[in-house]
Amino acid sequence: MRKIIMDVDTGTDDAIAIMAAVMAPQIEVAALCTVHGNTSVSNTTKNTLRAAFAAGREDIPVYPGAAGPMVKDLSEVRRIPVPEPVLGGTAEVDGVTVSMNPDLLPLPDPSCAPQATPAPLYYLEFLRTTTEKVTIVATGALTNLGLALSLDPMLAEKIEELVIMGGGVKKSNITASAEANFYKDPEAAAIVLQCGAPITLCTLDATHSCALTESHERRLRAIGNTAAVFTANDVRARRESYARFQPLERAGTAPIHDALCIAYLIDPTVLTCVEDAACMVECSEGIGDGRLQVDTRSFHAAPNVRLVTQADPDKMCDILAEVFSGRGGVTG
Amino acid sequence: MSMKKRRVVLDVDASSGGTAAVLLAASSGRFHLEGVTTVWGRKQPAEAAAQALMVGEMLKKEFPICPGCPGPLVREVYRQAPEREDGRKPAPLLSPFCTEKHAVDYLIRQCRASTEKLTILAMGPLTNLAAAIRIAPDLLENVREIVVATGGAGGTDSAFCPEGNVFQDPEAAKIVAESGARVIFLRRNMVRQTFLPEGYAAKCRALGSPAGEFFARILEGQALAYSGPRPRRQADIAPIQAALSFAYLVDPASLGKLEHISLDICLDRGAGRGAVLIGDPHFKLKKNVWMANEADADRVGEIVLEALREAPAGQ
Repeated sequence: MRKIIMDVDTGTDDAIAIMAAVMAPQIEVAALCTVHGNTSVSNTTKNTLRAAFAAGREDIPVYPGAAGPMVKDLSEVRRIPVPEPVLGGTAEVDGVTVSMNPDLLPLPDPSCAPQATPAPLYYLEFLRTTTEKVTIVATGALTNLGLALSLDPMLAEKIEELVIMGGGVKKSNITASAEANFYKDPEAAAIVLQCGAPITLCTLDATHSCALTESHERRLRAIGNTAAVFTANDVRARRESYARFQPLERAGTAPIHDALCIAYLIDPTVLTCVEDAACMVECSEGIGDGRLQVDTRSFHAAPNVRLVTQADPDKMCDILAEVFSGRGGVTG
Repeated sequence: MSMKKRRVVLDVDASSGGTAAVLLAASSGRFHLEGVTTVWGRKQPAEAAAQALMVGEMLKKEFPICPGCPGPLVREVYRQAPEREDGRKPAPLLSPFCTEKHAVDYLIRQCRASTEKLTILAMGPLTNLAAAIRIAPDLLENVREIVVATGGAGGTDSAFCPEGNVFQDPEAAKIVAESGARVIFLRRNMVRQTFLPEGYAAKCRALGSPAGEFFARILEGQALAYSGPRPRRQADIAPIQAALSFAYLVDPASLGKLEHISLDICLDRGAGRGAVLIGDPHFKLKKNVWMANEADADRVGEIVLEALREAPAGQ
């Protein structure tokens, strides 16, 4: 069983990743850390508690994290918000409106509360004292990890693998240059990519390539439990939102970005194009702020990440379906 | 009637100023030194912690000493593809003599748990404080004020931005300045204008205590350091930011009337990086920091001597 900590900005796709992780027999989720991103950290913390509860695991501790980026908001120019039309997408499913990224997820609240320790301090305490390395799955802005590594860069030596959803090589979403997670805290992303821990970077290129279809949606919905129905609803909302605001190469599909990170941990063969790469993140006041820069020169710097640019959508659905069927969970 | 002691936390680097601040705060009966957190500077936090420990042993006083951040908050990411081999392995943060709690962890928990508001005196780069504020902004609810010594000349300063503690971590300085807390900036130009009375080091030495001797040596060392590139105004005189910072805590009037200003820090990547910018009051900008402009050197000297007199006589 692989022990992981998840760092999330829940978020519908983060919620799906959480549910898949806690229901997968191959994975032990030791903790959930929340961060700003899809919505405020107050909301992402509530959503994380709801997602864990929905998957039958409200016992997993949730550590609230950073409310904003490490330093990006210190610059007036970098503080200017960018329009995010895709995030406002909704769809009608059986008479119910489902949103791609609601502020609060349509899931019941658990009775437990988040921990008092802030997420970066949790990383500091846990990684300094653990005798075994741990895998960290980060599916939001990397602020918590950036702060923790600034406090103690040697924490990286206790990380078995960092599986990150972030960056784009040919794809971008929030600006012409950048993917949202990296854009929201470029300095944190840069610190994490340079930290020295083994990194598997699931880019926007990869998550778009394994976007789920209407057929996948029907298969998941047929499973019937809360996690599966929640995922199917999200696939529906995303299919309609992307078709309207950001048409994909594979028309009528829905990328469930963050779930790819967990699918990889369950079955690494879901990734179909992985290469060692030297990557940096641009931190600037210009149009490239938050951009993932891959060094393609023949004399490039030493590779620091395993760059994932393609994944298998059918295998992605297989993995999710198997996980959601296997543990049961709460019937929806 | 006994006076209630003011509760202070010191955040210091391994400079002589940082050590002097610990010496004065730990000696004085006016303060309860809650703890010392150490930060990077020209040396690693562990070395600053060792110096603070030495002061504690000299004064026969115990207080928590927590090593902190080994480098700036984000400055390193702006360098072009740095060589990472050494960068990944900084000097060990922990000393066998120090508590294992990280400075930022200590600052957050201490402020959250405190039943009274704490005063923080920062004598090095503001990385620890900035990280603590970013991780747990609520800690400021229990902070009375933050006194910032912006630092002085040294080998790592910029020719254009002489305030070393700001230059070393401009992002951290800006986070602290814009935190909403009561922040007092004691700038380097003040230090250069404030000279302790002639023969002051001799007066410290004449106390006959280890603390007095130690402080006299710091003054003389500073005087020597300043005498080379910058001529001294008088013999046997040395500006020292720790003395000013400490004097302010004891008697704010010793630094004259504070000016409420709009302060910003230049975060550009060029020559101006780390420059302290003061907004023109005519533009009605939001005021965020209090700045001291002058000091009563005689009063500062009296305050420091008073603190040193309270230190144990020693062997």
